Amino acid sequence: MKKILFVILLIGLVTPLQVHAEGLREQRRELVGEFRSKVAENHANRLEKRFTFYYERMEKIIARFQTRLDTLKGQGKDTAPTQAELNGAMAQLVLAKSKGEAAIAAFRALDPTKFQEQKIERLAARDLAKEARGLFLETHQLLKEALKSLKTISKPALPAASVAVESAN
Amino acid sequence: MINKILLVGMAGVVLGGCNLVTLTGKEAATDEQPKIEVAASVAPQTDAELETIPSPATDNDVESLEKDINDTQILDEDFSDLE
Repeated sequence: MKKILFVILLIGLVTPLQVHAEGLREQRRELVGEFRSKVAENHANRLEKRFTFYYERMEKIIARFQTRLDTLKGQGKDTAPTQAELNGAMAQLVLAKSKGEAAIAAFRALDPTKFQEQKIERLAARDLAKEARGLFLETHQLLKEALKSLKTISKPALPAASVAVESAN
Repeated sequence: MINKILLVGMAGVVLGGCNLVTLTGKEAATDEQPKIEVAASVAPQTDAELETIPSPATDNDVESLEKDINDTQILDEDFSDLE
């Protein structure tokens, strides 16, 4: 009889604590979910800011570059190779922008309440962001190469005598 | 006998409830802590690394273009928290 009373007492004591513990677990799950959702949101916000910055900066540089190239063309310089490099840089920049937008959209599409279950989706968003960053890096590299070419054609033409000496050497 | 069992059962529930109230009271004092952590995890509106990159010029001469291209940086990204 004492055993039965003891068990009943124990159940009475433990049951409310169990209920409370479950509530705490649920609250913790919500907090972790909220934290995780901020992680994805932070990535989306940071990438949006940076990718926009890269795009706008390089677009402005390319526009100024084009103006310079047009001036040189007007002076009778052969700008075709440099123009081709600059066009390549611009095409790569447009591609980078598009990939960047896709990455940001992928981060924003992550469901904050299903962060744990969406590992494939969030890694796909990460890969898109890495690809976009790679394209911005390539654009920058193409611009550097186009600049080398621009510097060459920007040099003042050598006098005929100097050309003859250079040819002889 | 049944009365005795009911009495003990009720006492158990009351005691358990008292423990619960005590625990809930303690949590209320520390309840804000995890929320602050979540709030702190929101990224700041400014990007300090981006702000270190000088603004581009407006001139079209080769030197200005060269400076702006060389000043351009594509910053590293850390995605380790996604894995």
